Amino acid sequence: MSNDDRSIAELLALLCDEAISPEEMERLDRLICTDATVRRLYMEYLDLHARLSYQFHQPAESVFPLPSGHSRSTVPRQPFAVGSQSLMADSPADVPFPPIIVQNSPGLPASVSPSLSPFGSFVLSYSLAAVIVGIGLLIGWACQVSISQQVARSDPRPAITPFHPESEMVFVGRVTGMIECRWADPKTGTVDYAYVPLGRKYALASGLMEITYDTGAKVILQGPCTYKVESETGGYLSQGKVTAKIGERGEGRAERGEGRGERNPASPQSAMSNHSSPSLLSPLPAPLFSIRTPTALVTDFGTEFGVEVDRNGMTESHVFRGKVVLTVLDADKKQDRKITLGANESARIEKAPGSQALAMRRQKADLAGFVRSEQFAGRVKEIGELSLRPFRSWQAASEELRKRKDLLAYYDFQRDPDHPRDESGYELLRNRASTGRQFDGRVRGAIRMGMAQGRFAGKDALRFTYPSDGVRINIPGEFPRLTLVASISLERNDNSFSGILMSDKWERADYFHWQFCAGGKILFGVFNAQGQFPLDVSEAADLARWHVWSLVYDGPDGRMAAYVDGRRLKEWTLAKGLTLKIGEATIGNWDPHDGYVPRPLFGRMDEFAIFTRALGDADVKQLYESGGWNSASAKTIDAETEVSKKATAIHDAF
Amino acid sequence: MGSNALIIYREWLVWLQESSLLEGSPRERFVSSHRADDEFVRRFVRCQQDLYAYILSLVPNIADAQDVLQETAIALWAKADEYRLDEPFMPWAARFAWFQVRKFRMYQARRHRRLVALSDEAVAALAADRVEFDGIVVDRGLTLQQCVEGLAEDDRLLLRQRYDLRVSIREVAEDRGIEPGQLYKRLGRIRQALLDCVQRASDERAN
Repeated sequence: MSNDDRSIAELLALLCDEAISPEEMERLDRLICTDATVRRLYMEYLDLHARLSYQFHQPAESVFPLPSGHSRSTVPRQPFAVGSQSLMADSPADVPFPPIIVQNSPGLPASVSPSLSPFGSFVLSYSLAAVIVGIGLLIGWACQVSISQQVARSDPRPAITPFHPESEMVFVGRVTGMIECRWADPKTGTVDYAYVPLGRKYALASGLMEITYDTGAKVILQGPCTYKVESETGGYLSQGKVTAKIGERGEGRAERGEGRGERNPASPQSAMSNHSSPSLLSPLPAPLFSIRTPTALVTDFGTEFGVEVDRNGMTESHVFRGKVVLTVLDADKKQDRKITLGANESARIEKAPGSQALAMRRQKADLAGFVRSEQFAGRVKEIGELSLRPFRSWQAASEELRKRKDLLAYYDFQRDPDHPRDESGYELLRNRASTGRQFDGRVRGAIRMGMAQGRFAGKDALRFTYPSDGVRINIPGEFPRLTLVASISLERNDNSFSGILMSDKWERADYFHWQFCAGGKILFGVFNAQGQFPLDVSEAADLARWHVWSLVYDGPDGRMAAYVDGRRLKEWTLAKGLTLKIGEATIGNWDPHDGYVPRPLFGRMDEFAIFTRALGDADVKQLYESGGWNSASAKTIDAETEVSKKATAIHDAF
Repeated sequence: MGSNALIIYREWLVWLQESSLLEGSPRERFVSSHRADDEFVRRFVRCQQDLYAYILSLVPNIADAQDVLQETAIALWAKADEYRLDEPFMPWAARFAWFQVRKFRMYQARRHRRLVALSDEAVAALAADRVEFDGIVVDRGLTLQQCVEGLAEDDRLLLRQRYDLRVSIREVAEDRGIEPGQLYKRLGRIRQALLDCVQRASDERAN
């Protein structure tokens, strides 16, 4: 079947199943741009696709019941029918939905069967009309219009929305390494892996930072240094040192089919590189990268070189390999003086003695004064290994922990390469304790395993961001003693209630709630004679950072204690002999029945352990200090903050 | 006492029990912020499927749409204080979703230039029409759920397999001993039958 023969419905089906070819996509795109009926069909179809995806990912019982007054049972169901058969009766729950017969004949295209009309009979007419119009448009397009955008311009759409949370940015590269960076101007600070927008300025007080342009060019900023990204192929160095490395013949460009010497028209300064482009008679190839300074323009032709600008704006260029052209930029911007430098050559531009005019002179190359790409990569690798030490330590401690006999359930939140799911399609959070899979958690909501980083490099976490996010567990039984341990970093601590571990059956005897409350409090509540135990922890911990929270409940001894990072905050005396129950419960939320409001936790969690023993102070401290737990706050807070910023930057750069 | 009133009463009891133990901030302020928070959560939960449908219609790839949904959720919480309870939630949330869609497309355009994707013009046109579409569609999720329940068991199983992101369509086809093309057609027909069912239900309601 040719593309032209495919119906709109078929194109949409291929789109939904991610089987659409570029040609078919182009055709669908054109029709969407020009035909309101096709857009309507598209929305109908994609809306169905979305809801199927949602409902099969979040099975019928739903993540959480709708709030009171909006539960399924209270949504009015209007009677409707397929054919002549009524679908509704007085008692909706008792009446099954009548079967829908799907045409099975593979030879019969659904869109031409009246009984299988995709959108109802009147919509079928639109579909056929759309196909005819689409074919007509295709012919018209082929005959008269060569660029799809022209079609769109001929039918300009109104502005979609006046909502502009922030101006659009054009990204030209990414920060690909940072070593001990401090910022001269904090407003220019960035983080590793952040994308680099056009026009971005970096004022580094000390340290090293590498930017990798999308073209493949790498620039290492050596603090103190002020550098502005001016185009896709260059930048402006107002002070300090940079090393630039450009792959032979524009490494990184060819694979994307981009031409060499391509400049970004969006940058007003990019034209500057034009001036140094050699003539057609020049033996030099087209320039690949340029660094402008207050007094010079250094134009590269596939090489590695360093540029240094002193306080007065005077410029030096040193070439490690390949060739660069150094051009004097006088106050009048004349560029008639230039020099070509080869490997191990250097030149300096400075004011001539007793004159304001700039002079250029060759000098001995100072290659040792610049950090080269290989050196930088080696140092980054060393730091990377160093940053994994807490993770390695945690791995060893975690292996030991899971062997403990008193460990009822243990969730390490590490991504499982097998991406396990249950029969309903939920992702599973594996229970790593010896009690096994019966206590696996089911990941619900918009969260997915492996999407967030935990308290140090290498550690995975779940990042709870959506009000329905949570991990469902079911641990039956009565427990006279329990110890709960959770590693959490909150991103929002002004919620009224943020569930850590919340039993579904709150109002049944012995079930409990463990949650954060607004105002920096943590609250343990049990539905029995024990009651509620609030504790203000705002002085003890910065909730926005990673902390290990522990709660020890000892029914027979009538004792309960709360801890943060292995340190006891408070102990309560209880009535003796009462037990606790977990049952069906949610980690990071409350899955309330009967329409209570969910209590989502907003933040990240990267470890959760439940012990059937009431750990003592020494146990809790030892657990915290052994292996990775100890890294949770004290040692890696700074790193974590950077990780958090990094994650935010990645999201921001989306 | 009606069931809704009972629910509200019980929730109030739980809230009273827990909040009465919170010390510190003035009670009136706490009560006010607590109720606003809860209402925000209620509305957020209520529109989550619609928000996802909105995003997927503009980013027609399930994994990408889930990413955008999560980014949207983060943005919504960051701006929760700006939400006024007297305005409809979905249009307010959709503005954030639309912005996240645009950010995602910008990112995608830069990182995967050869990706098969809708043009900016097409997405803009869809987003503009979507406003009207959302105004028409009511309780579509619930209706669809009922229609799915009316499918033959094997068709429901096929849908479940299709939307289980662990398994590719090719694997499902192999499992069933048929060509992927046949499976695509089968899925297409199931979707069309469901659309027909939803449309009929909508027409019935309108009448």
